[in-house]
Amino acid sequence: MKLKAIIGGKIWTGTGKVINKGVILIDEGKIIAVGPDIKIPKNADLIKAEGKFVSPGFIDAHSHIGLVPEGLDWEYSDVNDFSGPLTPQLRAIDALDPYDIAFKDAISGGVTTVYTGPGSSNVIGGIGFILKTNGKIVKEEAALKMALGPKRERGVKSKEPYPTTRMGTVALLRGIFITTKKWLNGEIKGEEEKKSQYENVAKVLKGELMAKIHLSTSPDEIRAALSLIKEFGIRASIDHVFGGDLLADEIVSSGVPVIYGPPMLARSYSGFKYMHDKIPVILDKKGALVALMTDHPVVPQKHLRLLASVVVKNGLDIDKSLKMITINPARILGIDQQVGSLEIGKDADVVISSDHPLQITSAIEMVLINGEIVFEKSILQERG
Amino acid sequence: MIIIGGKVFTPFKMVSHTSILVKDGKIADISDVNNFQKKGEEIIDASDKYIVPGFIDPHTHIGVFPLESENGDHATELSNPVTPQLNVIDGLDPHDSAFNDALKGGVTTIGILPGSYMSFGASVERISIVPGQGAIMKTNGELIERYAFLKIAVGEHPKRFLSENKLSPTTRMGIISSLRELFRRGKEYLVNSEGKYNPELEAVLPVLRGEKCLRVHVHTSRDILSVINLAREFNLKIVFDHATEAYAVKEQIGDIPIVYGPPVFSKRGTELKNLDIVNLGKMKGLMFSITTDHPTIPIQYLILLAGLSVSEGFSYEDALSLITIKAARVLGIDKRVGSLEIGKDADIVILDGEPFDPRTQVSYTIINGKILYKGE
Repeated sequence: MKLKAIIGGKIWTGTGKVINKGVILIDEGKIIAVGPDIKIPKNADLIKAEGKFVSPGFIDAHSHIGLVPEGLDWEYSDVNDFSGPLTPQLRAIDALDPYDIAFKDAISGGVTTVYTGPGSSNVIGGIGFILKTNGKIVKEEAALKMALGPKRERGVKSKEPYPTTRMGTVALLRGIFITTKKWLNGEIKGEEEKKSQYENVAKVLKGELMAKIHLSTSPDEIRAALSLIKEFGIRASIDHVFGGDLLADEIVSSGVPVIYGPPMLARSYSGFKYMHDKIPVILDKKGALVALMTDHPVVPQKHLRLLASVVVKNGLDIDKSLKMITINPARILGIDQQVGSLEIGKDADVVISSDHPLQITSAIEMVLINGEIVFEKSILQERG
Repeated sequence: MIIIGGKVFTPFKMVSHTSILVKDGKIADISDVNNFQKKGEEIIDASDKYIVPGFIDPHTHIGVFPLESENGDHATELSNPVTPQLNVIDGLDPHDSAFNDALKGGVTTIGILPGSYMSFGASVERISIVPGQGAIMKTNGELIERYAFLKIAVGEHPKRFLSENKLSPTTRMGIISSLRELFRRGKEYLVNSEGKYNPELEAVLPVLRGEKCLRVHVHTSRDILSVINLAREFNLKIVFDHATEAYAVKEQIGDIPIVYGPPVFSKRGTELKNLDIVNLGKMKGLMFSITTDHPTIPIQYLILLAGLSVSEGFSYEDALSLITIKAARVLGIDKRVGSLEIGKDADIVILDGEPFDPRTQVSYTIINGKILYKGE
């Protein structure tokens, strides 16, 4: 691939540094230099960004893109498999529709890296993965999705009954953790049919795979999640985290990161009464590591930056909010060595916009993934 | 009351160092502050702020899907798919906290409609064919018009509602035919209702007389075209709501008003496959405003939706018009609200920064000359 140089833009690196009239040099899809005084090699293709804002590609820490393809009817949804409350053997990547039109839209919204995975109908839903919105897989197994809160049978023949209370859900989780531990220690034998379940749960217990713990609605589930995380010493994020403001101190002292959202939902269900868009602002102020989610298709993934603007509207500093869709999700997902900021050695995933991307009036003009231009706002579009 | 400006954004133009005199709930003057008698007047210093008209959302379900509600659907009658006699006000919760959210977000006038909203949780929207009558309210609780319009729905969403409730008709043909039958019977009733009282047909008469408009829940271009034909057949006034594919049939739509959106929603099902914020740019030339469809998008974020139109090529004036004067025109109340002009209701929002900057907060929301919300 040819050398590229993005020149003249205001570079928001994501490390706290902003470089006016900076240069980013890209080779083989990676950033090889970034700064104010970079010598531009003669053979480099120039991308002129004078007067533009240059930021890292946005990262959606929790979505279902590619699993519920847009523009198709519900028969095409492959998010929730009701074969039982514990389905750790499922892998979301096996259901990926790489032709989901939402990927193209997401790119036009500056989203370059996403986590996508199973839904929350099961106590353990399966393994989610991380990919670039151009289709390139980043991590085939990124997190084991778990979901607290009561569960419902959906009128299909499930292998085991679903727990109907919050207690029941936690008990089932604790049970599978303990059983898997025993299985790892060779204390349990002869359950051949459950081997594929134990294997995937074991990855979490051994620290090879993080858990993504979904809360249904209420803050008591945060306590349950925190205590499970502590009890079994697992790596995890707490997702949605409605009511998180009420338990902010406990979350912060646990060190467990959270993924709020999606913002911009109305409290139209009784279960949503603990949801409000000041939660990420409060948690950030207290010192928690916070990322945002679209939960696509709940909110279309391309509008991830709008959701970050919503959090600004609720009082968060505009640059802190931008971190919640760049470096923070990269850290939470454990991919911050590769993406999330504009630094030497990282993937050249870059968004060029007409102004700070959380200014809703700004337009995204160019997006690069691994150094390749994947979106360019056409002049035709600009003229409307 | 005197509001010392500030930048006044009317939304037709932006003028600096201009002040507003409010008397008896109306805008009495817009001029240099030195022209006003200050004695005895309540003074609001907005000299470093932006002053804009109160925002208007013509399509919400505020008060009908109350926040933190108990189970049950307050806005979709299941007993019959054709219920023009229902009025949304009869199911309204005046204590829905969305009214407060609206005030905090600078929204002063809303249309309230029965029927479904685009639920983020459910897979596909469901709505009956004629959910009932909608109203216009100010967010201070003042009812402007109880029966302001009659809502109908066509396309895949009523089809879904009907099939799930094991009701007929089951096709687009059947839905249009049900509507035609309603209007045909209404016409006969209009000519001769002696010895009869039919609440359903009574409710249709104002529509047939052209006094009230039909608000049409519609997404696809095919359904837009069918409804244009039906409206022509009975000489009905219509407004298209959602109108996802309106950009594709602009010529046929002509000057029919549209409440477009919400423009931020996923392409849920084939019915919404062409829903995209980029289509806002293609809507230029049509007579339209935009909506949150609250609770689809919470009402307080209406200003953000307007701001997004700038990123799709609209001017700041056009963007603000989408949630002020154009929304007032769609509701037919533009003589009274929707802009900062002498003689109009003093529905005024004072902002502490540029209207579309997400950091900007509402400092004051004023309705009929009274402060209903004051920011920190």
